[in-house]
Amino acid sequence: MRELVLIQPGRALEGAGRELERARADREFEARLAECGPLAFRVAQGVLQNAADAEDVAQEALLRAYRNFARLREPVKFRGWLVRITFRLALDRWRSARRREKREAEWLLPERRTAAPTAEDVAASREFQARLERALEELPEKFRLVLLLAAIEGYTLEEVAGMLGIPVGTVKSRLFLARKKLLEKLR
Amino acid sequence: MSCEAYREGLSDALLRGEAARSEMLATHLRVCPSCAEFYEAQKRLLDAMDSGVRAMVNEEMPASLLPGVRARMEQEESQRAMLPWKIAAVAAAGVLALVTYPLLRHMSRAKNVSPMSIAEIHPQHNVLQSAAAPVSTKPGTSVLQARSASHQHVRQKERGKTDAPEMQVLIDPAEARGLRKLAKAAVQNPEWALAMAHNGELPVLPDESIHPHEAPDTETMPFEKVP
Repeated sequence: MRELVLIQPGRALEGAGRELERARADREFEARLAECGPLAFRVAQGVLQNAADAEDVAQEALLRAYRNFARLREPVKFRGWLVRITFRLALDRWRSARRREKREAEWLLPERRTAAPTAEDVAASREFQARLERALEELPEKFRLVLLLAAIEGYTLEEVAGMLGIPVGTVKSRLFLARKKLLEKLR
Repeated sequence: MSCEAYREGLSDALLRGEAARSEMLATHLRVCPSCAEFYEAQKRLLDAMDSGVRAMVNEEMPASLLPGVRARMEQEESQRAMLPWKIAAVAAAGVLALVTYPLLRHMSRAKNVSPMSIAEIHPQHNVLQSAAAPVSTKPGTSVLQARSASHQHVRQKERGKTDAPEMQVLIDPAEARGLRKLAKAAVQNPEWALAMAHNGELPVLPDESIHPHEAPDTETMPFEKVP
């Protein structure tokens, strides 16, 4: 005697369709991850100047992107969103680190402060780097983001404009003003 | 045009990358050594600045970044898969609590009935008054509740059943036990309770162990006449 099983074909198809769609979204996200992971890391690194912190921030930003992937499937939209969220997260992290450092510096004993570098050339280079970092930190956020994105290898000004959703002319003028302000601070 | 104005123009041209193309600036640089020096210094500074910014952002991405993201994604996925079960568990616990709480409360009340409500006199058996626990003598206030000395204020059970205002008194547990016995006796012997309430005298309680009519050959007489 043959055994009969009652099924609901509509539901079975619906479930399979959902699974397929999910698998496709996962594949798409994986491709975006490989493409935009370095971008997220570099934006974070540009703000934080610390690889470990930048990695943390980039991970968090990518995870948030994964959560919101349903509405971010368009590549340009995804990249722009990722850049902005990474920049914002990195700024938040940087600010809290700054506050912590300030608190710690107030409690630090004078003899425990970092000693001055011995080699003059190292000191000069470090001094310049520190000045550059300070000058960057003082830049308005919109100039800073454009400057960092334009400095990242592999992205043209048109792509930067696409990521930020602003005209290329605006990117160029912001870049000019950012470099000018930076130069004035470094002079 | 002054050197100051030339320098301003030089800086902007350098930033735009157009300095080399400007004929006028090139002519001035040839004839003005200080502006030429300024130009060179600005150029070096700008190069250092640009390379510094590039070095900052173009660091290699750590190899652990993408695996870390994938691991966190998987963790999130598994948590998301567990979510309906967690919700179901919380809902089941809530339903269980809703069902068991009144039951447990009822059981606990049943257990604690003797220490909590010491004496109750219902309207048909009215009236008991105690010097230790004075209560209202209004006719409508028929329920006397004495509470244990743990000084807990317990909601009166009869609230809502009667229009009488709630009466609660705090007394010593020993006194409460006595009152309870008294109340029990009053319920069993309403006439005695009435007499006590009206005369203030304690009549002799009928001794239930004596059944004079059960033995026909026994003579009964008042207690005072017993020889």
